[in-house]
Amino acid sequence: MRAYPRMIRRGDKFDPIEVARRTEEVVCRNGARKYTAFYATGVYGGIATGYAVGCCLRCFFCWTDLSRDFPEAYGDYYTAEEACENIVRAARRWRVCKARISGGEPTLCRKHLLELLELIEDRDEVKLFILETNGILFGADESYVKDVAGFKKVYVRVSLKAGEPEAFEARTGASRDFFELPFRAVKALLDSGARFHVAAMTDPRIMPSEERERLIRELAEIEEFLAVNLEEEVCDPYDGTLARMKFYGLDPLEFFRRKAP
Amino acid sequence: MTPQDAMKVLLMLAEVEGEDVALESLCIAFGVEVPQELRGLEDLPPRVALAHAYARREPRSSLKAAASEVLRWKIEAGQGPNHSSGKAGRRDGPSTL
Repeated sequence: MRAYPRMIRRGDKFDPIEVARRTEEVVCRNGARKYTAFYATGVYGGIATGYAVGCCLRCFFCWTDLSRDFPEAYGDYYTAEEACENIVRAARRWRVCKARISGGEPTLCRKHLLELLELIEDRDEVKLFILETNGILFGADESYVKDVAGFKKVYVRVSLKAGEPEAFEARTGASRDFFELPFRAVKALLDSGARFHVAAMTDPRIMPSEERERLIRELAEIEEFLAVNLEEEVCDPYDGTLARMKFYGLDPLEFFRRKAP
Repeated sequence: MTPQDAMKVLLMLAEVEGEDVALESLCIAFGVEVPQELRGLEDLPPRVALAHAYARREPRSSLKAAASEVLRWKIEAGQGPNHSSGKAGRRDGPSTL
């Protein structure tokens, strides 16, 4: 069996579905999922957040802490009921009515997520639940999209990492054969009538302008509104990002010295 | 202003700030009235409000038409100011409000 992928170096390549399955073996247990924290933060104008452990991509620019790379070493298991209570408690404490799972990939541990969303539906404290996903598992199984789209409070944000297969592989470590999965997820979300928008790491220090244009055009082929409503992300110097860039072979100081747009 | 023009303005304003303020605050800041089609969504971040509106049948046609007009502008504008760098309080992670 191949070693479990952690931080990537240039040229590393893996099957993200297999990595999802292997990560789930670590972070999911009897319907519970690993989280490292429950808190509220200022993004989205204030949002309660469950910080989940584990992902199926290994983006070199990822902002999350090292729980992404060493899921066995971080976090505790929370049942859906416990996670819901902690999220609602954070929402109450900080007087916000939006909530989300962030950090790791929330679509890992499907049973846990669907149970959590079911519980959130019944909680008056939360009006909107934002699911921030890389779209890999949604693209691989469209029935999952239908399951999620059925919840009234759920809003999905799909984050694209690249506009072409080679760049997808280079930035995420996931084989280029899986490049289309997030776009398939976008199509499935559109077809299922879900409320969602697409984000992409179009930071020009990471994505050349020609690739950005290709990505926007590909989205426009699906639906022009999605392309125009695209949220464009910029890479920030979080601790995890700096460590991953260094491991990848980039000099983070030099990278961040270049001016962001 | 036609509904299509109003949507066009909002799509462009979402490039200034799409996630971290409420639609209503963005509209107030730029002296724009929240269009009838987006009433009830004022508390949501602009992109989220627009996506909610798009999921409804009624505003969808004006959003579609507006998106067609804005697409070229979006491509040519390059990456806009709607990003996390340098925004006070935008940093994500286990912190508090």
